[in-house]
Amino acid sequence: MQAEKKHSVRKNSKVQKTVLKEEVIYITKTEVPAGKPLFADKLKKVNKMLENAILLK
Amino acid sequence: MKHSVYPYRKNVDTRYVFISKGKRDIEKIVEFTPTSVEGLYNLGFGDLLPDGSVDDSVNSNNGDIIKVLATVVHILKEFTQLHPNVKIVFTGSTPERLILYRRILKTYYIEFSTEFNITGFILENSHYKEAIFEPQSETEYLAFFIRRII
Repeated sequence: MQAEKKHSVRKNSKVQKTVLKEEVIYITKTEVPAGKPLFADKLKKVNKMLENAILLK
Repeated sequence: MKHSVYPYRKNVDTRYVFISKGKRDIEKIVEFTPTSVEGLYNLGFGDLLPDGSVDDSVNSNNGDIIKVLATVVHILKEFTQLHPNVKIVFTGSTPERLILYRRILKTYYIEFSTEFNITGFILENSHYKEAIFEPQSETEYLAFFIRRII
């Protein structure tokens, strides 16, 4: 009986809960172009720093 | 860095993906891209967006930063085990991220330095120069390099 009460929801009640469905980005649904750098801006920044840089062997 | 890590999978040889399960689920991607210097790969890390693009400057605030970074370190270790001769460079997309990376390197320096040679990129007399990373130093590092030694 108590369990039934727990699950009953009164219309227009302030205690009604709204469950927001979080968006889940699944790997299989996302197309990532192969062969093209994803972090192109970062790569450009790094390559710029590497120009004429003195690197350790 | 003995924290738990998220399961991840290799998408292509240089790309790894995993899902951050904090307040919400966010797909993360780690990519190693060859730079203009032979054998030097840039590490890119960010959120994968629904259109297939990435965002490496967003602060997801998903409540699982330690686990996410531990996963990235794990991936970095795996990649360098598979490609022991490569050198990795990484920098922050924002000043805050750069500070965060430096803090991680400083905190785990003793552990990391047994496995990796760690250096940093500094600007000296208007020239970029690679220098030994000194965790206690006040030197401003613009990027970091790591190379597997064992």
